[in-house]
Amino acid sequence: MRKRNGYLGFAVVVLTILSVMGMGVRLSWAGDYPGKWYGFYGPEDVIKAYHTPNFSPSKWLNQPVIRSWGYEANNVDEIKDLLPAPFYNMIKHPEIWGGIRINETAFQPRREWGHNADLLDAATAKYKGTASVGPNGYIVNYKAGHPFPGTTNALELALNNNFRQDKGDNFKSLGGTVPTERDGHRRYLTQGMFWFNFVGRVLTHTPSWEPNPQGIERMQSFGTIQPYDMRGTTPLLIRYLDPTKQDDMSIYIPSMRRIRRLSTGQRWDRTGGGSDQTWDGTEVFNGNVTNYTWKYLGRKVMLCPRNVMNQPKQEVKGKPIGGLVDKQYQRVNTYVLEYTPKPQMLAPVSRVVMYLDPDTFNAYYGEFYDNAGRIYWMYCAGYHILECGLQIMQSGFVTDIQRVHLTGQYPAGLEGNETASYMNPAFMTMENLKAVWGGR
Amino acid sequence: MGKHKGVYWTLLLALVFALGFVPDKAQGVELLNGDLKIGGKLENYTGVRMQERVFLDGMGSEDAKLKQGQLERMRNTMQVEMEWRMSPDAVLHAIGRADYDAKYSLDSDIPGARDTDHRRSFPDGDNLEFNAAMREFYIKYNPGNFTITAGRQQIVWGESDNLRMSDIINPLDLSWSGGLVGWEDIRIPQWMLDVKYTVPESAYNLTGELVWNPFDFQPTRFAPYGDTYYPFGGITDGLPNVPIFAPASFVLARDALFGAFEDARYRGNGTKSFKNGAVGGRVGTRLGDFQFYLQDYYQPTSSPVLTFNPNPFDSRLGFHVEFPYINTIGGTFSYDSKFLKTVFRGEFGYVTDEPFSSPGPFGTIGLVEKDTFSYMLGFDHSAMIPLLNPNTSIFISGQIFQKYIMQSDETLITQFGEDGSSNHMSIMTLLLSTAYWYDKIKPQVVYVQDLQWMSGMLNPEIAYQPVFEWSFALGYTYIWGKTYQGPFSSWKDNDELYVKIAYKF
Repeated sequence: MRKRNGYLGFAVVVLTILSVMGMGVRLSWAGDYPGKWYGFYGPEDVIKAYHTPNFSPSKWLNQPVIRSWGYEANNVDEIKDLLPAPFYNMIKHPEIWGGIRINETAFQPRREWGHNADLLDAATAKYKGTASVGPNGYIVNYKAGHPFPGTTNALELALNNNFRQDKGDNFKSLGGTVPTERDGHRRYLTQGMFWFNFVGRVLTHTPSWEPNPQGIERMQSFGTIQPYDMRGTTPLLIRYLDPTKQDDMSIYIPSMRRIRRLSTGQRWDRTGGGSDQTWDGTEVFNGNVTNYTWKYLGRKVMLCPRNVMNQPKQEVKGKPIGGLVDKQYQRVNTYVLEYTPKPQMLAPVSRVVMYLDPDTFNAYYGEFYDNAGRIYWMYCAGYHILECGLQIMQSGFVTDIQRVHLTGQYPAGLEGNETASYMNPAFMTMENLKAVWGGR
Repeated sequence: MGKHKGVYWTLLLALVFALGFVPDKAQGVELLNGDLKIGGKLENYTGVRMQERVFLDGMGSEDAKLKQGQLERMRNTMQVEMEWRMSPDAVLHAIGRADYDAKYSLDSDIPGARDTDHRRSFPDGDNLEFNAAMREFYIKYNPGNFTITAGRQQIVWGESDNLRMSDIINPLDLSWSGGLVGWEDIRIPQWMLDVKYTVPESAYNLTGELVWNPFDFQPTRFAPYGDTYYPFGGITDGLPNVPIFAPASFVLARDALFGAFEDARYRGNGTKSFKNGAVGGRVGTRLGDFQFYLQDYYQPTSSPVLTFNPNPFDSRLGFHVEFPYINTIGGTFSYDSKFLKTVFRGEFGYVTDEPFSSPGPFGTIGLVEKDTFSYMLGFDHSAMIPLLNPNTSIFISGQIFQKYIMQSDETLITQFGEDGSSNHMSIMTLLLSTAYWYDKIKPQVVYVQDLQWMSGMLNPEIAYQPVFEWSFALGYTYIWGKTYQGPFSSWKDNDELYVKIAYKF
């Protein structure tokens, strides 16, 4: 009897503790205006992390809306040809995805962006004609800026995308990845990223960081801060200038208390935590250019999220859509580029169509087709122009169209260029990164 | 178990119903403007025995029994972790853990329920029923290219999974798991100083590390007699099967042996002394696609070695437990083969003067020191097999491990081989894991085989993680062997069906 009471008591204590912990605060942005159908539904600390202000404020706030289409707006059929077909279909079916609205605002010319855009454009002009494509299909003699301005050569466009330098010389972001089920059930990861460019530098140590004895092109580190399970997990990815040297990846796993080397052979594995994002599919393309065949499909005017309003983040309750729910779009004459995995790449996609900005070579959209030729994933990246002249990703999503599963992405540009000048090769060592990201 | 089944299910259901009260997004506590983070976990690990295990006394009669259907464990864990960023370069970490294994109070039939002695791991005497401790408490400081970690901590070297060649700095607590759980939970943290240095802008990724344990010796912890993971299968309640012991001296000999372990226990825990220190270091470099480490560590061996020299005038009757010093020189490598899309890894260790027991004349047991060499070769490969999993790769990880005793002889008690005196041991391991449904369902299989003695272990498990904070796992541990000799055979007849429920915040 004593034991039975003891255990019931234990159960009561457990329930009480868990219930108290359950009394968290849910904040919603709903109610800002009548008829608003979305908000942000993460826990309080997630809201705080995801809404971290950028290191540089918005260049253009409160953009007047020219016209709107989609949810509770004009018929999206009017702009069918200005959107990727999979994204158009998502807008047409709010009962599946949730309400999505396209708000057209004015196009902001590149020349008005500001300091960092000017630096990059100046480097592009200065080093025009310097870089070329070598016999191994990769760039040689690259200095800085966009290596092949004005080109319509597919491989050169791919290299422009690879060396788009949208994050400047050094960059730190903090934000979230939110895998979302078709019923709107969400899991929140708080993650950050350090990005360090050895080459293509325009602010300090130009045009490249020396010494660079290992021939590194760039280093990326992703740290997971929450959930507890993954806290302190620290991948470090190294990309080399020599295309025959595939990426190196190592990861510190807190539960093992050691660094484990990972094979980067499986480039089309998901990045973990339930995300739809893959390693090579990040930001539409994050792979080694020489592992793919490239094809230029021409120019096309599209409504692209070239300068979305930064805050607040957007989700629709009970539906999968997140990231780009009620955002701002501008008409952009994009480069349309297609890439196809080469035979040595074991990939679940047969081809990917990407839509590149002609000024920055950022990809706004990516259509991923499976090996049967059906649409598989749709990637939509919303960018934001900062006062310092950088255009960084603000929110977006990658979605598995076939399974109706979406991963919302909410990076915030925490530090960049001048404010991230502490970043250097010594900073980007695993020992230091472990200390920065925290965890056991 | 039958009469307590209602209580058990009440507890389990209480945890399940708690799902409804807990949001799926709680993420711990942040204070001091985010500089202080507190998180942790609550976990219940309940296992049911699927086999009967009989313990015999020195005369071959049944002395204790673990019955099929009894609880093998009902371990409840609360772990709280604190991380306080005191400055941009300094972080204080603290991990406290409390464990309560309810099986001792729920089931009066198990030997551990008899008295507290049968609920204490040896040689250190930790209580297996309830234990609470500040496991880790250290400051990590990063000035420049240095990382300095000082305090009670775990330090892990090596490339192998669950094998002891380079991962030797911290001893293990094998009392409640036999090593069949994540080693982060069973390494015994020690007070140490760890200094790492990364050579800046090195073309070869040069690193160096020094480790100093000034006084905190901790022996390996084993399960007591009558408990599931009692490792000395051929030895009964403290009494070796040596025929010279007449029934009349049974109890006397047993108490003397236990006393010898008690003496040895105080070597570390009772008297922290600079005489028990350890020191070592390693250097790392990158050559092409190879990452290498070379290391050396000088420490008292953490596993006890028994000697016996009959002496009726000695309170321990001549039993003595030793922890002599050993030196381990070793190294590791890893290589990422882009062509095979596989990471190969390996390590080796050469131990000088590793101690072994050796029977001598007139029933004595002496200590003999031999050099040993061990190595591991392993691989990690992620394979996309659409038939099995169209969305996520299958992770395949294998290892082969061998250990040789140099200049061994037949009299040495090595615990290797069928007769316990073989001069080598060979083990292979295989791990398969993948994830379904966006990482919510994670099946895994671990297979370990002692190639020489043909004993082994198979552990399939499937975990369900509907949200990051909650996970539920169902698994089975199957252990086999010919007798109770050998690395896994000691634990045979302990097959277990288990459930783990964890809440992490």
